[in-house]
Amino acid sequence: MLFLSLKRKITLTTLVVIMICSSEYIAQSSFDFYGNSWNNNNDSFRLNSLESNPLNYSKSDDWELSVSYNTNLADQVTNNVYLISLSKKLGSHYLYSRFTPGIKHSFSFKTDQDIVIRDTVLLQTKTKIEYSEKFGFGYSVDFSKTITAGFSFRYFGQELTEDTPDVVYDSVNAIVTETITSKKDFLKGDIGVSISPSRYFTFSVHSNNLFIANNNDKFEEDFQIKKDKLAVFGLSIKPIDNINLFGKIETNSSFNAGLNLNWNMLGGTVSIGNSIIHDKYQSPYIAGMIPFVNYSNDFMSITVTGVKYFEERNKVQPLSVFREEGIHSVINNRYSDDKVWVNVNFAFSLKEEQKVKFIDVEIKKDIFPSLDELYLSEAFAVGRVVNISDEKVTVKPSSKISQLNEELIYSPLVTIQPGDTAEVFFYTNINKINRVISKREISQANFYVTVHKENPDDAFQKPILINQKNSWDGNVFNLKHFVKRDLDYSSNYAKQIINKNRDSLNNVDPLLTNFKTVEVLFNEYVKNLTYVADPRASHEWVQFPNETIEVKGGDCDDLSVCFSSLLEGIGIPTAFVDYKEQQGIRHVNLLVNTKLITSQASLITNNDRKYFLRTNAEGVDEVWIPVEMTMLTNFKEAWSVGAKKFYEEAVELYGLAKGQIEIIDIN
Amino acid sequence: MKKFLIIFLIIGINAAQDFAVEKISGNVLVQKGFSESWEDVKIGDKLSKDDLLQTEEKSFIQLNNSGSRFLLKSNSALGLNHIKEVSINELLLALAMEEIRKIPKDGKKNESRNTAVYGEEHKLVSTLEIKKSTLGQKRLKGAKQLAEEGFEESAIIAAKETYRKYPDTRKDINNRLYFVDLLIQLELLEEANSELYSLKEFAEDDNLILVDKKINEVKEKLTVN
Repeated sequence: MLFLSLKRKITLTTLVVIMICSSEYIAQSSFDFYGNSWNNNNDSFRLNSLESNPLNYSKSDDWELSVSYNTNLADQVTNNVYLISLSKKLGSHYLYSRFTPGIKHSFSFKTDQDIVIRDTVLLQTKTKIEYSEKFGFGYSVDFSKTITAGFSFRYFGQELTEDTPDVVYDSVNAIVTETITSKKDFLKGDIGVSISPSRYFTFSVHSNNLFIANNNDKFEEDFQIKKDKLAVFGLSIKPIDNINLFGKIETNSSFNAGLNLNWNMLGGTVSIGNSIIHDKYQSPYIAGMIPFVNYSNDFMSITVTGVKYFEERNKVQPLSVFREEGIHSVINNRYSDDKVWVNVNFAFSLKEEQKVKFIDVEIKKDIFPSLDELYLSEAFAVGRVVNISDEKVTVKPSSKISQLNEELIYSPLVTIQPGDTAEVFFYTNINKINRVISKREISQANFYVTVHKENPDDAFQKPILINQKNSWDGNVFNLKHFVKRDLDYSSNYAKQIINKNRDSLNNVDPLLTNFKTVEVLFNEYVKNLTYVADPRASHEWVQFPNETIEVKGGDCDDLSVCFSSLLEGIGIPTAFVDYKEQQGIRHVNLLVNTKLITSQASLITNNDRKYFLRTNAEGVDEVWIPVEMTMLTNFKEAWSVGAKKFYEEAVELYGLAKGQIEIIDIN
Repeated sequence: MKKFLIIFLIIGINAAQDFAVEKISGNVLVQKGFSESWEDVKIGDKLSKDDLLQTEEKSFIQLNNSGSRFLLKSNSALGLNHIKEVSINELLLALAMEEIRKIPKDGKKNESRNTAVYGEEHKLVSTLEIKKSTLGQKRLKGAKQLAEEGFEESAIIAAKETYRKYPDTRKDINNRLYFVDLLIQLELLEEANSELYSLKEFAEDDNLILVDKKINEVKEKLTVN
């Protein structure tokens, strides 16, 4: 029965609110009119509340100005500017200030006194108490997307005006009334934290009356606002996008709970909701309810809300009772009458509309500094971005890896239709200085998507592995990056050898220049080299050509990379032969272009299996010779061993056709 | 990677296929493995699959491989690795190698990185004389004998290799048509068609008529199939 009657009351009151005839204050100290009126589909506007939101939580992303106006239709219709607030988001910091001319409540008490001088005279005196909040300030910081913490300060005034009779003894005795006013302001500070592990769940906790600072003025203690210290716990759940269930409970056992519903319409979102309150200082058990209607679009938010109590308000009380019980809230106390309350809250954001946002970013490749050019042509990460606007947008993606990039690296533009989700590819560039990375590290990659303006619409951060400068991803195709890294060094080194052998090379027939140069270079190159297996079994490691020459050794990768670099450095084309992994063994050696054509092959060999014909871009077959780079004796042997392996595995056993062996041209 | 060399040698020995020389007449030469020189072959010699044989005029050699005999006639050459059964799939893989030989377009940037030439540029001319070789023709004859001995698929592979390495042999239309017929016989009609169009550029007069006739035959068979 209680439930039914309550339900009927709620329904009736909701209708009243929609007809813009509403109720009055609530009593619970941490509650207020805006605390429950989230527009859940468009919650980027702040709640104009420090009462229920002392941690200053907000999803606002720029300037926001709000004006709140109330109409009190209780005994006497009065209109007030309730509050004016200004807020600004600065990165992860959020500042809020408000001026609150409408937060005040006055109490008047008749304190008539009988004064006896010659006769008894009734002297009409009164006592008036006014409580008001003058201004407030809030600060919060987003520690992450899920955690926000903050604090707020509110400045209150208390003014007590008492009529005191005074007898003036003069030629004519007279009684005069002297009015004595005493004031005592105080500052109240609170802190809180909000945690949202997902968009469907938010938990918050905040203090009430944690910090109080009074001035030194004298003020009768009994008339001061009661400031019990409390903790308030809140929970908000969105089982589905259009419904929000929420509740708060105070450590003094007061609580509220409610439900909000949302619909996208009229170019924005409309929310309606209602909540019930249980207040320790009021009766009945469910003291009242707070219905609201809200409309929000990208630029403004309007809220109509109010309070309806389920018990008659205490219209008249002796001063002695007031003195004993006091009040706990300026805007909500048991002495406030039932009133009709209309409250309209306007809010608008000056920031441009967010048009796109990230759903996720996937790191496709770890960063290998040696493969720098690779990341200009192959995306290292792919983001999924949704167009949340109602127009087609062109997104400018950019990224910055903290350890590698000094500025943003822009990737190709992507056009996304309204409501669509698109894949956005992120490329990067590694500058020369940053290539010298001595150890593997986890760095942070920051991703941004921007539409037609300077500030990104959305940002996303993900950890990424930055490998050491010699690390290699195991793909033979990418060994070419090691070949090309310092081609000038290789070129100079090769030229030194050529100059040293200038006499013998000058006498070579022009047709055989390339072949003989390869032979001379190889024989000089391997003179002091030793084959050294890669000691780093955990990940691939490749030396740059200058390192191989300096340390005088390496494994097949290092030796092939180095000799290829020497030849490429003087314009002799080379290709890696990738003998792909079979039974745990993988091998790399080289093919070298002699620039001879088929009919000229007999100038360098009598054995037609020692070369491989490859058709160039002009359709001419050129003679390429396989060279085994681990055969560190002389060129002839390295060629024979390389040719045998290549002929048997690549040709005779069809390794090339089967894809078990791949030829990878350096250029 | 060091492991590779050791295992490579072991595999080489295990996979060796020995051919015993049973009979010889006239001059028969062998190029062993990947060496540069040719040596005389004598009865009783053991040859491996890596060896290449060639016979001179009025010469022949008979080999015995585990009881199977192979006779290489005069003026012929044959890599012993070709004396083996090859499946149709393997033949198709070998034919597919033609595409893999092409250098990717990006691979044409073969120019030297030097961009400036100072002084008078002298056009260097080669003075080397390229000796004419009969090895290509001999290899084709060897390939034909492979086909005659029932190694048709292997014969086609040997012929293809010869045509590529000895461009002069490409002009011998009759020989090429012989191998086209082998492809047709193996019902590799697309491959036969491709080969016919390739050899058409060398065909003249009667040969051209012959090639066109063959092309039409293959087309008809392709239509039926």
